[in-house]
Amino acid sequence: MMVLKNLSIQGKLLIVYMSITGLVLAIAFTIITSLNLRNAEKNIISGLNVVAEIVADSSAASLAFSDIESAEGNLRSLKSHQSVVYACIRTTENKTFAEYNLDVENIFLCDEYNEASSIKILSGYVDVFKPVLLEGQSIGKLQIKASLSELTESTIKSGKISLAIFIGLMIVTAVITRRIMRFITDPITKLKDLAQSVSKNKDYGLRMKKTTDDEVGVLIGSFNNMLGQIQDRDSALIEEKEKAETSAESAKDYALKTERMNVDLENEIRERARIEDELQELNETLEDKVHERTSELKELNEKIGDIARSAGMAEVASGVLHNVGNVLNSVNVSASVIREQVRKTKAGNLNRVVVMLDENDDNIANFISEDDKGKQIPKFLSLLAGQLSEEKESLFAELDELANNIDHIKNVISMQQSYAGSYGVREKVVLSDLVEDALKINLQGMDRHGIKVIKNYNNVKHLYVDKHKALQIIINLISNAKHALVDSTNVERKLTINISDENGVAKIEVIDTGVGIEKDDIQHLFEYGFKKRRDGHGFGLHHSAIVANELGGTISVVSDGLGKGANFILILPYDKQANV
Amino acid sequence: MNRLGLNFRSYLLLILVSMSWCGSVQADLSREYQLKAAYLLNFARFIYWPEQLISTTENFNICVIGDNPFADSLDRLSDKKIKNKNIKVKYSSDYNKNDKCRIVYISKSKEGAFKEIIKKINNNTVLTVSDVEGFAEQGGMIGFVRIKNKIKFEINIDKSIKSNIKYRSQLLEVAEQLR
Repeated sequence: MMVLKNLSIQGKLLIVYMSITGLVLAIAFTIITSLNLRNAEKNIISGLNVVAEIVADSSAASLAFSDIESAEGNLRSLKSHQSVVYACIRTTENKTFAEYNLDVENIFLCDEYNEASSIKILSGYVDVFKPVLLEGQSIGKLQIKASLSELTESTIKSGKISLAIFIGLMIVTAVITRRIMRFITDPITKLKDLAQSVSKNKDYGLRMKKTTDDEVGVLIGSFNNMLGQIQDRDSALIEEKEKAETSAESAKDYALKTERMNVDLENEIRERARIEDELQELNETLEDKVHERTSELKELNEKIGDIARSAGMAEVASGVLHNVGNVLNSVNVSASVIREQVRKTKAGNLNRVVVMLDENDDNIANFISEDDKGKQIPKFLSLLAGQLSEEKESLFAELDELANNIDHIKNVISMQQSYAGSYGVREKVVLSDLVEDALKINLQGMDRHGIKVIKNYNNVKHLYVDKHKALQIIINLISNAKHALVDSTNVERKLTINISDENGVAKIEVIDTGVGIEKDDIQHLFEYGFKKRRDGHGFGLHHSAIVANELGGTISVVSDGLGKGANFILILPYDKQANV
Repeated sequence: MNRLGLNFRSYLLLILVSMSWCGSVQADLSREYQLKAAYLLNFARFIYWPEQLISTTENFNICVIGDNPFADSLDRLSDKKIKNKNIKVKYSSDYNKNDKCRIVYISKSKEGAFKEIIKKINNNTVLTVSDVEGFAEQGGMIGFVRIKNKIKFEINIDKSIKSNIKYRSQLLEVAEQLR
């Protein structure tokens, strides 16, 4: 292969052409020779078949009349066929009837009797078997054995001729190919010579004449162009070299400067490495601190959770105290009114009448009928009686109110007491009762502010919840609604409470026609510290949302905007644990 | 010892030898006619029989005129067929046209009368065969001859042609002599 690699293109092409031609010719000759061989064999066999047919036919009478001489005479007639070396006739009793051997060197034997005609090719001989028929019945069998040596000889002969033709054709092909190839290889050879000359003499001004437009022509054109470009670059390089020499000095200076800069840079790198180490240390300390802070925050968070729970309880307590405070206000007002009424009572005027009557005790009848003042007394007493009666009515009314308020305080406190012990315990709860309790706690002042409460309680299943937590949420929602209604300028102050079943969970809607919520505020409504009311502490809704979540529920709000009321929706599962 | 100088044992031996010779002659004779019977069948096979003629008879009749020298050799051929007709052997003392014979074998016992018989046959398509010496020469068609102790036969072509008997060339090739 190495030899082939270094061979000239002309040599390579010649080898390729010759190989292909040789291969094609060899295949062609092989096919033709094998076909000829097969045909020759076929011809020999078919010839033998015909001869055997004739001999078998003419031997029928010999066999029928046991005429061995005649039979042998028939077999002798095969002498004219050079390839036949042996012939015999066997009777149906499997006895050799007649035999004829043409080969003096070899002794052949007559094969066993077999009725069928057949051909056997073995060890350079072909045997043809033919039945000897008489009236369509086999009376014996003829065997003719022919040598195929003639065929082998003729094959060898034709093989030699084929080889001679093959060699002759190869020589002719080589001569023609060489001539034809020159058209292709000559321009390439010239191009090669030119390239060598350019390379040796560095003369880029040389050019080759382009004679054709084929690939070689394109190659020559490209080579010429390349030489042109190299020539241009060469001159440019010379110029650049001169420039480079002049700038070499400045480059030297620059190199010195660079070296100095490098030293500086190395120092800086060292410094930075030191700082990085320090930073690493700091970072590790920072990580420890972060861990510390994280655990502190965790503790704090747990504390906040506790505080939130306490705050929730405080929320309820605060609600209770607020309500109690409100009622106490009313109690106070009632007491003031009673005190004022009692202070301003007209009963004092009666004393003056009693003094006047005591003074005229002796002459009461004349005093009442004659005296001007005495005449006024019955009229005065009648008026006083009316006034006192009114005062009494008024005082009774105030006292009833007072008694009611005190009862309300009592109720609120006893309710608070009933919830106080249940914190953290799941209980069976009737939702409507829970809502009613929440309403009662918030009831104070509803009438006073003209708030109309509408209740739509649908029958829902019992809830298994932390009663206290659920109440906290509802109180908070009703309280917020009440404040929203109180602060509102809307004429219709309506608080609607709906209880219904929503796809297997309890749904409590607290709808008010109060101040409403701005769109931007809705998303922050449940965040800690968000408050819209002046006296609010921004904790109620945040805590309610957390508690609702603890109970496995949710709180959401819908509002069409300021002045358009709000709808708080509390969803609670009937049994959080069953759902889990 | 008697007059001839032969004792009893010698007589006995002579008698035994004579008997065995006679037996051997008898056996050769039987073998010869077995072969001739087979030849009769083969003659029939090497002759172009006109289809019309064959179709007129039910069987292919072989007639033996005179004494039967074949014993049962000919009868054994009855399972063979010529032109798809069963072979039937008829024995008689004289030729009878009504027997519709295709082959007539004239026995040696009729040596003196064979010409008469041939005349009676009158060139009809009937093959005449005989052992009689000079049979083919004297108006018969195929005559058996013995040459070098082998059974051969002679054919009278002219007579055969006249009687409308056509042989296959192979038969003529193996015939000893053609007349």
